[in-house]
Amino acid sequence: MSLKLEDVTYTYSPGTAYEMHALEHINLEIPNGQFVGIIGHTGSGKSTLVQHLNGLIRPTLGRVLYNGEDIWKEGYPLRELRSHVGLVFQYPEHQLFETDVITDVCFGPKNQGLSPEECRKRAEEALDHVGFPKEMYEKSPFELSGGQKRRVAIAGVLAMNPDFLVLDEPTAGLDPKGRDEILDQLASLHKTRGISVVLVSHSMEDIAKYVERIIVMNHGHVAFDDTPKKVFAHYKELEKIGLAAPQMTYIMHALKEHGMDVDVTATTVEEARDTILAALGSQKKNGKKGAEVC
Amino acid sequence: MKSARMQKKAGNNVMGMIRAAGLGYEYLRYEEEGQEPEVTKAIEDVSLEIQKGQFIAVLGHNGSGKSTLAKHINALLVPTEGTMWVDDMKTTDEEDVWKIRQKAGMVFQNPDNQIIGNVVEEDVGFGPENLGVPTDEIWKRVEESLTATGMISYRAHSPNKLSGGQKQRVAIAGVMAMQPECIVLDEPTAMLDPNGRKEVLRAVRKLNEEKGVTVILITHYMEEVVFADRVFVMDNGKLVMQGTPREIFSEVEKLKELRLDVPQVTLLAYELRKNGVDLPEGILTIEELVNALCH
Repeated sequence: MSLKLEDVTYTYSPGTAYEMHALEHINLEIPNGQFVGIIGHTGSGKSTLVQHLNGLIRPTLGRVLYNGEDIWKEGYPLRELRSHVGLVFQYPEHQLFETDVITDVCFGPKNQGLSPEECRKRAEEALDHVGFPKEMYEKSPFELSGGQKRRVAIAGVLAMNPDFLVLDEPTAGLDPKGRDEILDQLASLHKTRGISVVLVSHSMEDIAKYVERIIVMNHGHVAFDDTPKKVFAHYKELEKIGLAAPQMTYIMHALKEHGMDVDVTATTVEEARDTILAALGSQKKNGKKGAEVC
Repeated sequence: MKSARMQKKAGNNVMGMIRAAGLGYEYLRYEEEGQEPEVTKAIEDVSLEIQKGQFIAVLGHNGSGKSTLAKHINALLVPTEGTMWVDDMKTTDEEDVWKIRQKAGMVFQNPDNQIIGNVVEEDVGFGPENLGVPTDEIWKRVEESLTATGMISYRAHSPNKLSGGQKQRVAIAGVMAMQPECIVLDEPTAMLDPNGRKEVLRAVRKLNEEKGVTVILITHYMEEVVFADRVFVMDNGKLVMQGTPREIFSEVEKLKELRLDVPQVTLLAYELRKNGVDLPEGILTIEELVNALCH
């Protein structure tokens, strides 16, 4: 299974004075089972890009392929595609509408034509995956905290059993613990169910910690597409296009400049800790004190 | 008793510009018809003092009462218990409400919900116009506040073509044009990209440092708190910690219990300390860590 964009261009208001190319000649392939991060400054084309992935918008030029089939060819079952590629928008909790949590999560599978029992089973599985407590199933979604609402909204998409789960800034506005919990649950979903996760985020630290591949968008183009370590090695270029590297990258470069023998590609706190400890350890072995080495 | 005693002291200028004593706010939740409504306490027994010109950060998990507290500062909410004073005016005195709102302006999370003008300078002029400020003075203020937030070159632009960070700076300029002494920002950077976050923070710090505006910043980004004079931490409606950023961020475990975090550089230093590296507690910046490790 894979999602592929072939030479995709998207133009807003073509032929008018407001014509704007949001995407230009994008070529990408997201294979099954990948955990991908998309970063880019506001207006770089991230959201336009993800809306192409489940056929919400139609490319002005180029093709979108799901499992090798053009999703815009005549007679292609777009509705079915949207069950395979689940899209969670920014602030998805604004889309909750049912009277209780479980009915809200059942809405997707119900529309897929599943029996009430099957819907309930799917909904319970999905809520379980996002760590939503059973005893709150009958509560009104509007009584929940921000973090819980967000979980219910994500479960609503998961209940459709997608193979690809695309999330546009799923942690915006959540407290640090809520942010970590949701990202940990996505990582475990990716691991246990093997689904592909595409995460759009403004937090470089989160991206560094979770994804295996980063796509960097800039002015409607793909600026970088590589592993986090390789992408963040270009931290100076990233800054020029309105982004940044994780804090750890800056610390590693500063230490290196002071002469400490650390691995500058460390992007998470754990990696940074290990390489600093290793560097300090070898300093000791050589009988040098900190000040002599730095 | 307590509030009567505090009231006597009011008028004394040495006291903080914003003071809360035993502040509480409860609201009723109605379930089924005929059932007794449930009482929920959003904040409880909060006492604090903020001096003029301070940069204050407020931390707390979702639902901890931060926003409810913030809304008390400009009388969008009035306490059900205790008292809130803004520049010695009680927020419960209805005749002072408009004066209080001029003293304390507010900026919210979503820039798109706060902008109403078709042109940037008109949007910024909306506040002073409503206050009945003379036209010449409005234009002067618009120019000043757009300059202060670095948005003057966009004065003739349409706000809907701006980036999130730029829109937020227009919203801040709109509040500044009312010349408040204090500005309350409720997660102003939650929806912004890294550059937008930097722009907004820079603008807010500049207002604080150069114009002496008292800033109260509510945020989930620990890195934004490092520059504050003082940090308040809320949990379950109560004020549970207060101190300088260094004091607060020295308590890594306690913050984690409160569903919060520390800046990544602080966390790295904490991890290194746990592994026997000789470092001081509460390291807040990259420079501090590099200096401590290398000397």
